Amino acid sequence: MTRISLIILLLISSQLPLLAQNKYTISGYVREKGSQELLIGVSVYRPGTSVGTASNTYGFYSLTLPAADSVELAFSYVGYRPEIRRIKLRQNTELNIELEPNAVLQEVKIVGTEQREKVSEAVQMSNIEVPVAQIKNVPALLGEKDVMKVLQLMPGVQKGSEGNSGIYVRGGGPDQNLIILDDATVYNASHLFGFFSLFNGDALKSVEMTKGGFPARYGGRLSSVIELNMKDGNKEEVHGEGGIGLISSRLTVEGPLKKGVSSFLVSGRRTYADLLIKPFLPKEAKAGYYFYDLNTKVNYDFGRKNKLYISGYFGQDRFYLREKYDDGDRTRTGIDWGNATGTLRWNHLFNDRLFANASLIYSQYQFNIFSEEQNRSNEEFKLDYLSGIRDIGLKYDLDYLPNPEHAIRMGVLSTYHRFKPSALVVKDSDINKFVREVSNIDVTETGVYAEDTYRPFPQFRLNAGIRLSHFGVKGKSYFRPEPRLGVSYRLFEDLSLKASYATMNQFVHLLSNTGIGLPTDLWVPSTKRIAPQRSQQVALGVAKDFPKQNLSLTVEGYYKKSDNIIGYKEGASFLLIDDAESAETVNWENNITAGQGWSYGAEFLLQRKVGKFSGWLGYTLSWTQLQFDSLNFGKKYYARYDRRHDISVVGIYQPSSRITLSGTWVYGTGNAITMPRSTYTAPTHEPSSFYQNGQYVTEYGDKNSFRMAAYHRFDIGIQFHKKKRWGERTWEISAYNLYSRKNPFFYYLSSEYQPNDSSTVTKVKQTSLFPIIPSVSYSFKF
Amino acid sequence: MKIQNIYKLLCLGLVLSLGACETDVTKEVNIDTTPKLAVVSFISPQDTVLLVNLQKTQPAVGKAMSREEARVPNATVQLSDGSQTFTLKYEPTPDVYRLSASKLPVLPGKTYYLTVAAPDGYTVSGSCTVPRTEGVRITDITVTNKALDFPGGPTSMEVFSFKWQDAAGQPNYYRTLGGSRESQDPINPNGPPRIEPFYFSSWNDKNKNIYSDEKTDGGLFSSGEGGSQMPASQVPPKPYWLHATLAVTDQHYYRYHRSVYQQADTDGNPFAEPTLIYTNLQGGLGVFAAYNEVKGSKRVE
Repeated sequence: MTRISLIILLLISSQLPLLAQNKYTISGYVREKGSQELLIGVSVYRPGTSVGTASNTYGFYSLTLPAADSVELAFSYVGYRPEIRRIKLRQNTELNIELEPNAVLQEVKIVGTEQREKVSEAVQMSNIEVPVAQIKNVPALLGEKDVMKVLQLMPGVQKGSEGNSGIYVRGGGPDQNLIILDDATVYNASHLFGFFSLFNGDALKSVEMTKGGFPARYGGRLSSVIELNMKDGNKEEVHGEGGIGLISSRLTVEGPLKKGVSSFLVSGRRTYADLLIKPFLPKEAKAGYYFYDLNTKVNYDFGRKNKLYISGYFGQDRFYLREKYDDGDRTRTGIDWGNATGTLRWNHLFNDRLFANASLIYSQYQFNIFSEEQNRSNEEFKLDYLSGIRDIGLKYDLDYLPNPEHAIRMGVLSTYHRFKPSALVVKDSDINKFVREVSNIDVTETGVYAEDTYRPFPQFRLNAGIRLSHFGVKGKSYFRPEPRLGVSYRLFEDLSLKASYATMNQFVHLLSNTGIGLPTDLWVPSTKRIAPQRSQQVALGVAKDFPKQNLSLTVEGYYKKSDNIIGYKEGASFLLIDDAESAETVNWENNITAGQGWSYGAEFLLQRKVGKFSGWLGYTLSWTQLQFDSLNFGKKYYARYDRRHDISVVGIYQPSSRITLSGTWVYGTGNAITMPRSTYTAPTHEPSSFYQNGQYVTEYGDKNSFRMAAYHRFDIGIQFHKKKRWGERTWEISAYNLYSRKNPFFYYLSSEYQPNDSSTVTKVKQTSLFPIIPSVSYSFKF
Repeated sequence: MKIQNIYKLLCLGLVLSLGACETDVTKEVNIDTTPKLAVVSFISPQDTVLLVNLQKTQPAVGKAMSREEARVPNATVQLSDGSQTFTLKYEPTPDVYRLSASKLPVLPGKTYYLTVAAPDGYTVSGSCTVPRTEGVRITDITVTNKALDFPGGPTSMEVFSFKWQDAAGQPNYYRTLGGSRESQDPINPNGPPRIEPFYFSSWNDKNKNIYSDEKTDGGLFSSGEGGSQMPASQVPPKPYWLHATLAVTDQHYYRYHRSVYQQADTDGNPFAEPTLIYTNLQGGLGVFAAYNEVKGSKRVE
């Protein structure tokens, strides 16, 4: 890898004298005033022209312009007051900028400039950025602000079921989303069976989601990339924020280790339902559930050229049930799962135009389910099941900005995965002790990429790139080139046409029985028998800005074809493991089947990121079909989350600095599920009358041929902010599902005996999770 | 079942702790519960009688039909080999339609057609082709003693198994039907031989006694373990004969049985994918399938 980097550097260096003729580079870092937090994606441009760039993930920008006595540069970012600087450009110039935040995402006009993050200016399409401040204003279930649930309110992004943080992007499954927190992959982003996501908004700096037209720097998943960056920590003074909610409390503290040079951030969250219910449980039983999160980050600024960041996330869910009776019966059952990630990053600035980052990445997800029973006769049963994945990765990225026409990125990411698909111990007094340990599977996944965002003339931009992906597993090696292209043509001022194409490959797969994000879902690699999943997506769209109203409108159509996607065979479930013998037959490779998928649709998004009244209106019209040779007798069927219509309306109104009102309304076509239609006795051919009886079976019709009732819900919230001597406090009162719509979570059949005519009547019962859920929370900042 | 604890925990966590509510939505949901006709028939050249089982399906929702209501005694059930068509006769006990195989001989390689017409507009039809058995050969038959660790103390039982050679180059499906031991009757040595059957139970076997050569074309297959109803102390003296019977089945037979057994296995597990029951019939449910027996024998000295 070092050799490749050297060659790349040599090539670039050899070009520098040519490129630099009569041109000079302005470069530097954009930070938040007061905290020195580096800002990502700040627009840096020459007002009145299309010449510009944006700050990268580490707040660095570089713009090379012709020499001039006076150059005007504007810096603009949502939620911050824009800045304009005039400089003399006769030599390479370092220009570090501090932007002042606006407390309430106000519209700010400065003579000669405007909010510049225009969707019509960017070549990237199918991209969603939600300011973290806005996420905190959207009403949430039980007041728990959730990044993933806000993303679900965007067109093309759908939730799985009620209250669930699983994400379905353009027909793809929740495993097809690459969720990266500070460069580390997060494998299970759910707490409490998916009702809450891992991400604590107080610790986050930015959230960005890409659902199509993927740049070459991203790879490894078919449907989306959700990139989250943790705050670096305030370099000037100690600050904190926290909150007390109905189910959890949280606290974040950040501050300088060495003023202006080094800082830290620690953020924690824990639920306390288990502590509250403890006194109400019978003495024989102890049961409960809790989760916690801990985000930490430390960074050190060695000056303009070198910066170092260490960040980590640790989270755990624990569900337990212990019973002990006087007669000697004892049971102990539990489910534990959790993620841990760690990243060490080193930024290095080779020169004004060449920025590098090296990352050492660790990520782990582990799931454990156990059940132990002992009865009075000392008969014993024990089941202990463990599965997980562990990654160690090295990443090296270069940003090269030779001139305003080109922004070149290249890099390599190599990850060593260790999968533990299942390790099981079953002990039973009836049979001999049985131990089964599936050996770990070690694999390496590597991606090398290069991409260029090129602007040959002012109206036209393109991002072209290639990613070469390699996956090596015992006895098999997969090599997959992935071409990527995005183009944008500005038809009129503030109106662009966009198109994109991307091939994606996915070498790790999630086996999910329920699709609701249970921790039982199992990560497995591609193997000799299981080929990588692959998708090809084309998207066409229009982007229009209405600068006077601060509105942006995007309309996109997409078509995605996926191959080798993974599904469970009919009747398969890892939870079938019931005893030693069944455990022997449960092998994940035998339980899965490969198929193909088709997704297509149109998305409409009208968004206002700033102003007293902000929010968005999203609508998606989509179709998703799947086909597996061994499911539904090989016939195509609608995916469970095929959703014809999906609407979301999000409004945030801030009449004054003391009050924030917000409301969300969502509507979605019901999920496609398989429901029993009829039953009958299916005679089987049994040669011996000894076994002849036939089996009472259920007829379902085609797979997923039944539609659940449509889902809709209205949430509202009101926040009261007050400045205090020590900082600011906010009371929030909110209501989830204000009109108490009984949305179906699942259906089941229930038979009832009718004594009047001795018949049996079967009814369809619907289980709904949440009626109106009011909540109140208190949060503070100091 | 021990695993039920884990289900309990998951369900508790998902539903109870989050304040779920239940509503009767029978009138609001639109489930197509129109009764269908389920027709099941297996034919083979070794049969002396051809049977077709008919029943109406019970709607999954609403009032259950009585056993009488589910019967279809007045249907027209016809079997044909393409040139001759015969109507089957209904027999109330055991509720089947019947035709003597002598009227319509079932021959290997030949395609048969089943049509059913019943009042209320039901029409169901399907066809199947009787598999050939060329190239399929039973290669080994054994009876061994298997030690068992029962709670009452160690014991042993005899298990019967056999092996067979698949016919390469074509898709084949199999069902192990059973076997027998033929020995001299110790009480009446000159009388008829004593026949002791061995049965395979489909419910306990991991392959359910059905096999496909999809991944092992031309390979050697082994049966599951067949059990005898005879106490181990009555094992006859050698020499004796072992006989095995294997059915070479068509694809419909294999897929239908597989789906039925699989659905039974996962019944009640809310986390397993629902299994759809295979059908090769138009206008109804069930299966019309064929098989052809292969026999093998071995003298044990």
